[in-house]
This record gives sequence, C-alpha cells and structure tokens, in this order.
Amino acid sequence: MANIKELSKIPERLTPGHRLCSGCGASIAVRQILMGTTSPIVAGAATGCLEVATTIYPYTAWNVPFIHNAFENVAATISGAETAYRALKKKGKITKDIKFVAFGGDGGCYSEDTEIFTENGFRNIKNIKVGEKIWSVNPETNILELQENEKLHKYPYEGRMIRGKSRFIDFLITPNHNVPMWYKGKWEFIKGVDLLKRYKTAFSRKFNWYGDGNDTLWMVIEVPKIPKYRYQKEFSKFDTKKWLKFLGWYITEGCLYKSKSGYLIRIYQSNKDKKEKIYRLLKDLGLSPFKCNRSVDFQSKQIYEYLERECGKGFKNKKIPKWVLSLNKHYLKEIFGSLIEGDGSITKQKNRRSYHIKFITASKELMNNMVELVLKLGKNCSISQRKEDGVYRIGIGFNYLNHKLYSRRRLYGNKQQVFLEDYKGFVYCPQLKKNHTVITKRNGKISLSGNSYDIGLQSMSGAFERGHNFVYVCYNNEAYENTGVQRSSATPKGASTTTAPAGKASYGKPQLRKDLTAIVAAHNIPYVAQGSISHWNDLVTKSQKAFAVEGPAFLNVLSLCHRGWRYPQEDTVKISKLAVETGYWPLIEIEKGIWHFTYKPKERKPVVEFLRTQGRFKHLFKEGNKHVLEEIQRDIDNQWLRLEKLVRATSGGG
Amino acid sequence: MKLTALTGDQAAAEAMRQIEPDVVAAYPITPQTEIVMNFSQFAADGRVKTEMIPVESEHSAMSACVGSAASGARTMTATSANGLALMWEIVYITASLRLPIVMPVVNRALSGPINIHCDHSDTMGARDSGWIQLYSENAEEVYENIIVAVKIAEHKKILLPVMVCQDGFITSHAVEGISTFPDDKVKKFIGEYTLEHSLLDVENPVTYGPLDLQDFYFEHKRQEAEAMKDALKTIPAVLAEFNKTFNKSHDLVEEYKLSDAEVAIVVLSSTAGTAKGVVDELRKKGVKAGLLKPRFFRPFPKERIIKALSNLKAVAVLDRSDSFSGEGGPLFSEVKAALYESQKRPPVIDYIFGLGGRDIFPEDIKKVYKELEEIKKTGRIKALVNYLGVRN
Repeated sequence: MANIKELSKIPERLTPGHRLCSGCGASIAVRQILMGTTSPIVAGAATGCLEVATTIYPYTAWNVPFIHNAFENVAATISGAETAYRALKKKGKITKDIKFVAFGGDGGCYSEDTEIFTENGFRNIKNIKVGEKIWSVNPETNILELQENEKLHKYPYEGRMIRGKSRFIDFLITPNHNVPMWYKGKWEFIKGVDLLKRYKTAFSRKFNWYGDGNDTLWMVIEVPKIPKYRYQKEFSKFDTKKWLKFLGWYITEGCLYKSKSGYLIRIYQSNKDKKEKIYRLLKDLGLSPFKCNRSVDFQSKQIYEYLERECGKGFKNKKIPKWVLSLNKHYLKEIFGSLIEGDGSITKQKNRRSYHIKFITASKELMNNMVELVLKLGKNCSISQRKEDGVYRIGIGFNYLNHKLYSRRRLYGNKQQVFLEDYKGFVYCPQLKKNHTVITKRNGKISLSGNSYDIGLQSMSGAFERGHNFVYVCYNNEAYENTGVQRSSATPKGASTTTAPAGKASYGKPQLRKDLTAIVAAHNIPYVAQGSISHWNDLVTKSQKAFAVEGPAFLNVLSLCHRGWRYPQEDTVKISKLAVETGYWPLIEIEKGIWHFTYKPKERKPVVEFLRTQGRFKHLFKEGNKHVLEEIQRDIDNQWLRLEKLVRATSGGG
Repeated sequence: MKLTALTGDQAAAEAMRQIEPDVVAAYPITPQTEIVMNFSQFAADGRVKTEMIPVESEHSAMSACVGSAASGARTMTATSANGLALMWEIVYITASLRLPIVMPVVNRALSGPINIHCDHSDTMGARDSGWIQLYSENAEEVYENIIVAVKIAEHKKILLPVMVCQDGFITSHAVEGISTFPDDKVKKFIGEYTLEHSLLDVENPVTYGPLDLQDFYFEHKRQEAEAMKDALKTIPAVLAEFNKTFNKSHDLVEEYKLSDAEVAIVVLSSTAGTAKGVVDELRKKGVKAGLLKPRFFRPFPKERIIKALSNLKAVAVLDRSDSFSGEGGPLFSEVKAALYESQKRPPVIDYIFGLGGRDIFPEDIKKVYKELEEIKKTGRIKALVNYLGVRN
C-alpha cells in the first residue's frame, strides 16, 4: 500500500510548469503513476495532449529523460530504448544500474523476489552466478547437498504463476515447474499447475544430513595459541560438544569487552537456572568464570581473539563458523540447543503434540547460518524480518515436517497476502539447477500514451509480445481529445463527439467501447490493471506493481478531459470517483493471468449518476432516449457480471 | 583480405556482423529478407553481441531504432520498398532527430501493382527525407559502403542517417566473389559510438522530440539542411580515410573513361556495371564513350557532376524510377538542374528503364550511346524523356 507521507518525498518527475488544462486528468494520472517507483526512469509519450502540452520547444516539463517520436509508436520507441539499455549494459557502456536503484532505500511495498538459499546464505535468484553452490536435496536419497549452479535460466515469463503460501511454505512458480511433494514416504514431482487440481499436497522438509565428525569418538577443538598474555591460562584444546554449547551461548548472549584491565568475555543471562548452566559449562571447559549480577564473565585474550574471529563481535555481526555447520547432526544439536536457550523461545502448541520454536537475531549472516543449521537438523523454518529494526525472526517447526497446502482453501485465498511486505519467504526447490523460474524485482521504464486503442494498438501489442521490460500507461480520455474531441474506439456508447455527434437522428456513438484492458490481458503479460485517479492509493499501488514486475506491464487509467466530456474542471476527481462507484470503470487488475477487483463498491450506484455529470451525455436525458440509458446500464451490469465470472474462473475459487 | 563468395544480402549481413551494432530492429521483406535472416543467425550463434528486436512491422522497426539510437546505441535496420514506405513517417523523424542510423535498403519496386523486383522508386521517394543515400554497384560495394556509412553517419559534423542501397535480386541475390576486410580492422575504422545527449543519461535528463512550433521549427530544419550541405564537404575526408585504411578508391562519384569522352551515361547502381562493359566495347570501335556513376545521391554531389559532364557533347541519364512529373526521373531532373550552372550546358536526355525488375541489356545501352552520338552530330534532341525496354 502506498503511504502518502512516503509519496510526498518522491521528487516530481513531471514538473508543474506543463501547459495541460487545469483539471486535466492526464497530468494527475501521470504524476500518481510516476510515484510508483523511486528508480530512475525513461519516459516516452505518443503525440497527444500530454506530449504537446509538456514539451513545447525550448521548454520541457519533464524532469526525467523523455522521448516523443510519433502518434502511434510510443511502445516501439520505448522498446528500442529498453533494448539499447540492455545492449549497452551488457557491454558495460552503462554502468549505472537503473534497475536496482529502484528498491534501494525505499522499503518498497512490493517485493517479489525469490531468494535462493546458497552456500553464502539467502541470495536473490537474480544474483546467483553460474558455479555458485546452492543447497539442494537429492530426491533419491533425500540428502541435503551443495550443488553447483550450472545455469541460471532467466527468461521473461508472461502469464500465470502458481503461488503456494502458508505459514511455512511460500513459493511462486511457473505452472510447468516441477514441485517436489512428499508422497507415501518418498519424493515425487508434480507440475505446479497440478497443485491446483489437488485438494491438498504434502511437502516434506525432513532432509537427511551426514556431516563431518564421528560422534562416538572424542573430538577436540584446537584453539590457536597466542603469545603469553599476563598470567592468563593457556588452552590448547576443548571437548567439541561442550565447546559448541559454549559457542551457542556466546553467539546469542555473548559480548566481548576490551579495556586496559584486559580481555573480558561476558555471557549475559539474568535467568538464574541458565546462569548456573553457563557457569558450570565454563567451569567444565576449564575456564575461570565468575558470576555477575546479570551475566557470567571470564577473562582470556586467547579466547577473546578466537571468538572475535570465528563468531563475530557485536550483535549484528554474529555468525556460526563454517566448520561448525559442516559437522554432523550430533554436534549440530549441541550448538542448536544453546542457541535456542540463548535467543530462542519454545512454545508448546495447545492441543497439539507439536511445539514451536522462535529464534531472533539482528545478524543476517546468523539468520542464514541458522536456516542452514535447522535444515540440516531435519527441521523446517520460516523467516520474517521486522520492518522497524530489521531483526530476523525464525520460526522453527518440529512436527510440521509434512506440511500440507490446501489448494482449494488457501492457494488463492487472501489476495492481499500475495505480496507481503519485506517478504523473505523460504523458497524450496530441489531442482534449483533446472528451470527455476521466478518473478524477480524489477525495472524502470515507462511510456505514456493516449493512442493505444486504435492507431497505436499494433505497436503496443508487438512490444508486449516481445516482452520488453516496460510499463505502458494508457491515459484514457475516451476520445481524440487533443484534436478536438473526435470519436475513438474508447468512446463509450451514447457519448456525443464531433465525429459521432448527437442529433435528431442520432444519440451519439452507437457502439460499445473497446475493452482494451482485456485485449492487453490476452497478451499474458505479468501485470495488467485498470485504475482511476480518484482512488490514488489504488493507482499508485498498481503503478508500484507495474514497475516491480519483470516484463511488460499495462495500466489503463481513466483520465478525464473536462473539455471533451464537458463538465466543470473542478469536478475531475469527483466524476472519476463516480465512474468507479457506478461500475462504469471497474478497478481491476490481472496479475499473472488472475483477474481480481482491487476495489468493489459496496453497492454499485446507477450509471446515470455518472452520466448526468457530463455534457457529452446530456442528450441522453432528453425525451425518447431513455432506452439508451437503460441499454448503457445493462451493458455496465453485463460487464460487471463478466468480470465477476473472470475473477472466479481465474482465481481458483478465491 | 579474404575472398568470399557472397550475395549482396550476405555481403550486407557480413558488414553488419563486423560492425556489430548494439541494436538491430528489423522486419523481413523481400528481397531484403536474407540480410535479416543472415544477421539473425549471427546473433543466434553468438557471433555478434547485438540485441535483436524482432518487431511486428517496419513502422515499429524504425520507431524502435529511434528509441535505441537516441539511447546512445549503435543501431541498424534494413528494408525494401513497401517496408520503407510503411516506416516513412519515422524515416523523416529519424533524420530530424539527427540519429545516425545506417539502413541497408534493397531497392524494389514500390507497389502498385505489387512487384518484388528491382527499381529505385522506393528510395527515390525518400530522397527528400534528410537521409544520406549511397547506391552500390555490386556486392563488394554494398559491403564497403555499409562500413563507410557507419563512419559517415556518426561523424560529429554530420550526424545523419544513411541508406545504403543495392539493386534487389540483381545484386542482393547474385553471388559474387568479394574481398572482405579483417574484423578488427573494420572495428578499428568505425570506432566506438558515443552519443552526446543520451536518453539513458538519467542524471542529465533530455527531452527528445518536443513539440516544435512556429518559433523554432524553421531553425531546426535549416540546421538539418546545413548538415546535409556540410556533409558533402566532410564525406570526402571520411572516404579518404577509408581508402587509406583499406587500400580502396571510393569517391563521391565514379568516373569511367570520362576524361576524354564525348558522350556519356549517368546511371546508379548495378546498371553501371553493364554500361561499363558497353563503354569498353564502344571504345574498341572508336566511340569516345564514358560513364558517370554517382555513388552518393544525397547529398547531391553537384560540383563533381558539373565538372565531370560539362565538357561532353551529349549526356544521357538512366533513371530506374519515374517521378511522374512528366519531365523524367529524379536523377535526370537533378543532373539537368546541376548542368544549368555549367557554362557549357551539354544536351541531356533521360531514359527511364528497368521498372519492376525489367532487365536491361547491353543492346539497350548501346542504343542510348547511338542516340547520344546522333545528338553529338546533329545537336538535335528528338525526345527529352525516353523509355527504354518497354513495349509501346
């Protein structure tokens, strides 16, 4: 959702010096849409009011790079610019990464990135390099293993993706993607699309892991020696299990203090029992701890340096050493135990045999380490990040090993959950090396046009089909307004225009307007939406989504023209709102092929309330034209019903 | 140098491969198709790093080229006849935006009636669009002209788009042995392309294609005219550099046995090759025949044409397109106008020939020389505009 406070900070890309009419819907639409991204953009416009009024040489109202070419070819022009961007980027001639600046400090509402768990923790799929080692599961043996990324397939995908989402599972995959499911004790792969057909699907997270170390033998950890420091005791080796337990305490509760008086290691703990536990552990290790009010402390330069190097200093830099993670389960359990005792909490679930563990950390590296640890222990987990302070919260489940997704009930349940803020869901796919297709973050190019319904349709269609990464905005004023209000295929039935005027033998345009949004949706591009400036939050949100997707996106925005529609200029927003409330201009979006309403009036007002406000429909209220009003209402009702059907048909019962 | 058997289309694609533009947006049309096909294969095989835009029409091809070139990418496309006609609107815009796009054009008769074979009606129609036009006699010239065209188009003093024309089927589909240059030498010759004000420079945003009304449009068009005029002065230097680098002898016009000639033909593209053969034959018979082949039609090398033709006794212009002015073809009009400035003003007649791919034979050209000999003797012009090789 857009936040007006945040939006006010976004610099104006279309400056107020433009010469569009006051009360023009187009400029409002453009400014709202340009708030959809903070990344650098390149704008293009077709010949029309917008271009004419904003760029009279030698002035320009555009604070961003802008190109106008001709009347009907803005999509092709922008597709050229977008391709040039890719070409020059590939050659290193453009170093500025327009794409990534977009999501820099924004904390933007929508992030669709799938991150892949690799050797180095979670990494955005886009950034994964060939040869990078990715955690994967061998479907034959169910063993967790690092596999080299042979090839990162990256191609624009247009159309529907399958989203699986619950507390423990979150994935976004293409319909032909193979999903591993746990069926009668073994792995089976089914197509993503088939998930929809099933009532429920079980997903296992119980992987096998055989790490280093023989747990029956006594293994020691060697601590490197340092030059003699004061009179401190020197250590050479420790019992591994105990040492790991200690590391767990240090990682979660430990602090290092260096002062003139020496090198202090402090394990914070106010719980008496735990304090005692730590004290005993340290004693066992041969250290010389002393209990303080809220901690257990001991002095040692040698261990201070060891811990600083191996486990990090400061709560944001804590980590589990690599060698620890490579150990086998028996050892991992030791460190896991004290980690959870330190920064975890265990809740037994009511009326269930299961219990749930939460682990909290501010260190990204530790979060990644923890996930690896949890997976190796055969548990599953989910990660979330608190927005205010960036603290990661890892939920660890023990008995949810066969987690079920209910296709009918949950898959497309709550639409708002489809894009979670600060999403860090766990992507689970043992076939990382193959066809892992995900929607990733996205882009920064926009074009604005009014000539989309008729003469520009082909150019636009071509650019959509080619999959250029751009946002196409149709500022829809429902006629050729710039040249003096001539009829277009966007003009609604009954409207009087200069080339289809109302007269004694005519009630204006007799034909229905074209459903451009549906035509564009038929291109199966990732994002298509219809918006209105009156619902600014809805429109900005749609714009954010449009900018965020990889591939083409389309926004059809009702942009009122008081000259052509004939109403007082101050009523633009009011009438825009009526268009939505009457169902004349439904606020819909088609996301990966799934249609839904983003706003549904509680009760649709009769369309005459909208028609009455404008001079272009004035004649309809005369004697003898009542049937046209009825016809228009019927058309609107039919359109609404059709939309509802589409929503039902595409959303899997949502 | 390497001798390779290539068609004109393949030669164009080979030049494009060596140029390796950043972006190619093209739509296939006969007889240009092989250029796009061959180049697409180079891209598919990874032999070029070019980004292809497989547009849905020529209109979008040129539109995408405008967007790309304005973004600072070296951009090329190719077309023929009706394809050129469809991109017409943007052809003018490209020139007015001063975007150095190079476009091989395979000349084909412009419909209607529909015909896929060679004449110059397509590019001759675009002679006032603000593009530089180069006409190539054979595949080797196609190859060389495309390379030199890049350098000309991107020259800081020129910055105009260039059409490199070749005769459809006659040149485009006939295999010739041509000498190609080494890749690195071509790349070094054309250099890197940099655009002063790129659309992608998000830190210094520029507006391309603003509304330009009464108070500035005229100045901008004047600048465009001046650019074309200046190009005539700059091009010889670029050609000299090309000649020096590749050991060639390109010039604005090619004079063939003209120094002591009394009668001569002016003709573009492949027909010049046929005519050269006729000149040789006539020379053996003692006829002082010569030939002038303008390589550049835009900018129009007027001074060179005056110098080359002034001392002749009679001149015939061979036009492979008609302007339907009732006064002959476009090449004739311009050559005749140029000679008006000459003190001697030799008699000039026009022959329109080869429309829709109608073959022209040495016998036809001999007829022209015969007529010129006649004029030389009598000083009387029977018909100013003639049609060659057509049924009456």
